[in-house]
Amino acid sequence: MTPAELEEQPLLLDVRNLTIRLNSAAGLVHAVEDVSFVLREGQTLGIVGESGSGKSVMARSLLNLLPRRSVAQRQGSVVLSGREISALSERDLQKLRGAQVAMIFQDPMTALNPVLTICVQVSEPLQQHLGLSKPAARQRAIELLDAVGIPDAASRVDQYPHQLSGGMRQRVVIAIALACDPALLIADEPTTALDVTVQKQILDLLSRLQTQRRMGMLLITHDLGVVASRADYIAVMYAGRLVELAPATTLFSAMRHPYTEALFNSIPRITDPAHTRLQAIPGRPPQLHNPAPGCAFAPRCQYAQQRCHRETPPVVPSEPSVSSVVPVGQTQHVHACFFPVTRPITGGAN
Amino acid sequence: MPAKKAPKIESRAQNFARALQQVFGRGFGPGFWLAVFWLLIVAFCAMFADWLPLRDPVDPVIANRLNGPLSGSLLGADGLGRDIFSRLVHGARVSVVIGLTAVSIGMIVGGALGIIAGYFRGHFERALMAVLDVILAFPWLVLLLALVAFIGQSLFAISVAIGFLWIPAYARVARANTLSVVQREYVLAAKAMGASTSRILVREVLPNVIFPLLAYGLVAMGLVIIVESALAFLGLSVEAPQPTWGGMISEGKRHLATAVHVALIPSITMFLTVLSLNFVGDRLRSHFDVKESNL
Repeated sequence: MTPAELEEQPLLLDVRNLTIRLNSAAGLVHAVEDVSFVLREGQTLGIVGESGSGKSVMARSLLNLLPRRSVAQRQGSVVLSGREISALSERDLQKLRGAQVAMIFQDPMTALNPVLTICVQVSEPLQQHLGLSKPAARQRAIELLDAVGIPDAASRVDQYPHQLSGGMRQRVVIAIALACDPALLIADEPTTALDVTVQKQILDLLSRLQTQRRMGMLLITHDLGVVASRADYIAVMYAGRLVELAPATTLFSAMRHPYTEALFNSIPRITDPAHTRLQAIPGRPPQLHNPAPGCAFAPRCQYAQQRCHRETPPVVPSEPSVSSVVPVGQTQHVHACFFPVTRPITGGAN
Repeated sequence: MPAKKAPKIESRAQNFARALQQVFGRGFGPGFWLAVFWLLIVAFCAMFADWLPLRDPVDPVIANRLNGPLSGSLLGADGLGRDIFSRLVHGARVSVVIGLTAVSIGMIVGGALGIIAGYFRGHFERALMAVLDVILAFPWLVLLLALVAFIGQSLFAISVAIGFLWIPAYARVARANTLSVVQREYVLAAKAMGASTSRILVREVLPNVIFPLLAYGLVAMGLVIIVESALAFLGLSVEAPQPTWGGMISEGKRHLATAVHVALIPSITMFLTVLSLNFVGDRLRSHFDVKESNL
């Protein structure tokens, strides 16, 4: 689909000013701060950030999956297919989960129950959401396993998770997630635990299935390379905040936030001569409890000035022609920085 | 089009068998099988005591009084001239029935409470744990005597009383295992796929908690048998004419100076049974642990 076509798809997910604070022994953790984005049907939004930048908490909160007692504050709205998530009862949420929104987790080694067969685990949502009978669900489970590229699915279906390899297990996890044809797929670091070769297979599989089924996808990762070619939009998160959001092509050609630039520069390039030092981002990611005022990235930022340590930069559009208010359903380039990078990026493209 | 090689299709049963083999595949050693063999004998005796060609266990033949082993009957006779072998076989019934019932009660009630506490946490967990700590802190024999005095001396009443004592231990084991299972990603994954709380408890948590509980069950059964015999020794187990191992030891203690075998034979029987239960239970438990770490 061309970008113009994508713009015309109906809204699937509308997250606005989402703020989540979690209880912890050390105090209130500002896990997600004022995050807004939209996702349309058939689009892929890649969410990139370091470990602990609030990606997973944000993803889980979209389905109200965070343990209730650990959530201290939750503000903002999450509207999924026109329904406000926080207003739904637990029972309605259960109908929504799996049927309309499915989730893939990071580690396929632990995402499958070791004591149940693959068949049982794949047919569970089929029986629950689609009301299929046991034999029908089994048949459908075999078809699904076939669709995610598991060879000899009819015999694999009765095996236990420990009899499958990591890549196979992730395929099973994907089959479970796709069982009820969800409109939105949240993939929380789906390839982090896998080998690079298997990573590519799994990502290709996800892209293919997404196009076939016209799902919206939220692809969460800490690897810019993973989202570069597969996402329509890329959001960069740092310390719970969205620091830059842009169409994938725009982001790489005209990144504005110093953190995005630093992330991009830290990717090792195959064209670099041997023994080139890897460019690391100096310093450490900030602690998320009781954050200091100012931009969270300022202590590590080479462009930081006085103002960055005092005030938190708001999210503003990157093209000066557009009005300064972030419009509803924004999909243009936005960033949160007082002194955005404007120089053209040097170095080989990814 | 070249002929496609037919994929090797394993039946569900074959697959299950293979999974079992992977769990139990490594040898248990002869000791384990010896223990299993002994337990099977005990179980067989308990089940078929009434139909075996044995002397009446409660029929006193004064002429045989305190006869030693292999003098007329296999294991001799006790102080009232009753056949010890026959009494052992019939006594196995009491031990096995009380062992099974008490452990089942402890496992079902304690297991359910522990799983619920471990899953929901919060006030219920704290209250339950406090109550269980109180029960655990209470001297168990005193508590047991009080319970037996209160609900009577029938086989069922004693099973319930001993089972009650096992609730705290089981609740703790179940809670601890639940706490670790709930942290696993597949529970969150099930929730993310729309599973209800009861479904998560039954389909995701229970199958993972039940194996440690069952393995612990065998060890617990050994202890239950000892507890029952302690009661019998004090004359508070099942009413008199019915033979029990503990009761036989208790009666035998009067003849320790003249006829050791009267007390010694039931003691050895009980010792072997409890040892076998511990041995088998321990081996099974470690095998399940190994299985979990392999996954």
